[in-house]
Amino acid sequence: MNRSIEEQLQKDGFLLKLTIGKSMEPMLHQWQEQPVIKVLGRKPKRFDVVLFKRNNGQYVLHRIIGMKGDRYRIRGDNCYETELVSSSQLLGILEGFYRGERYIDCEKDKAYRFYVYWHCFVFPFRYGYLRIRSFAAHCYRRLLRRAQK
Amino acid sequence: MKLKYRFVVREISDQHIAVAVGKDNARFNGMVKLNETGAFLMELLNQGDTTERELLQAVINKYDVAEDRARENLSAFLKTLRDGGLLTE
Repeated sequence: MNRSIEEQLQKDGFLLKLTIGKSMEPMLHQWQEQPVIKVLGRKPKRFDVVLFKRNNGQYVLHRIIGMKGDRYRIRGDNCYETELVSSSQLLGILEGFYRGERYIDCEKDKAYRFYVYWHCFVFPFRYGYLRIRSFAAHCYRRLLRRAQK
Repeated sequence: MKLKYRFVVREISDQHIAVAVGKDNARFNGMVKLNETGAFLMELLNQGDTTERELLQAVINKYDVAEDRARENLSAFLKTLRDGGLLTE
């Protein structure tokens, strides 16, 4: 029987299985790392990676980068767009993840903490690159569509 | 017999959980909850082709239990895997 993600989290208290796209690279890669997501047991803070549900029903695992009023500013590590998410949309928090046989604890692993601070620190410099990359991909797709006509 | 997908067994919140890894993750989108014996058997099945007799002997050796009881538990475990489409014979 297929259970929804909310049902799984409520019943088991955690999720080990989640389909990941590219939005959290280089930390999480599709079909590689296995995130361990636990039910929210505390108020999430800045730099936590949280699982939330968008209004369109899509489940997303992205990082909190700040607050705007009472809503969370959230962005994927490989994204440049930020979205505002209310606390009622939050479902779980990333406690750690497996990379091969190694378990990386998001609270305790020093290399991971360094990655988080560094990644967020250099974001303003990466922003330009991400926008250019996105624009280039958009142009490429348009050229392909024209070539196929 | 062997597993249809490649699994890893993790211990989270005092539970043993098996999930498919790599591209098998896209083919089997679920978590398999195991007890300690099930986790042990899953690790053995993950190592490659084996027989029910070999699994039975491994359980008897590890847990020092009577053959009848070991066979009963093993059969129940393998039936669960077969019913879930996770075994190839």
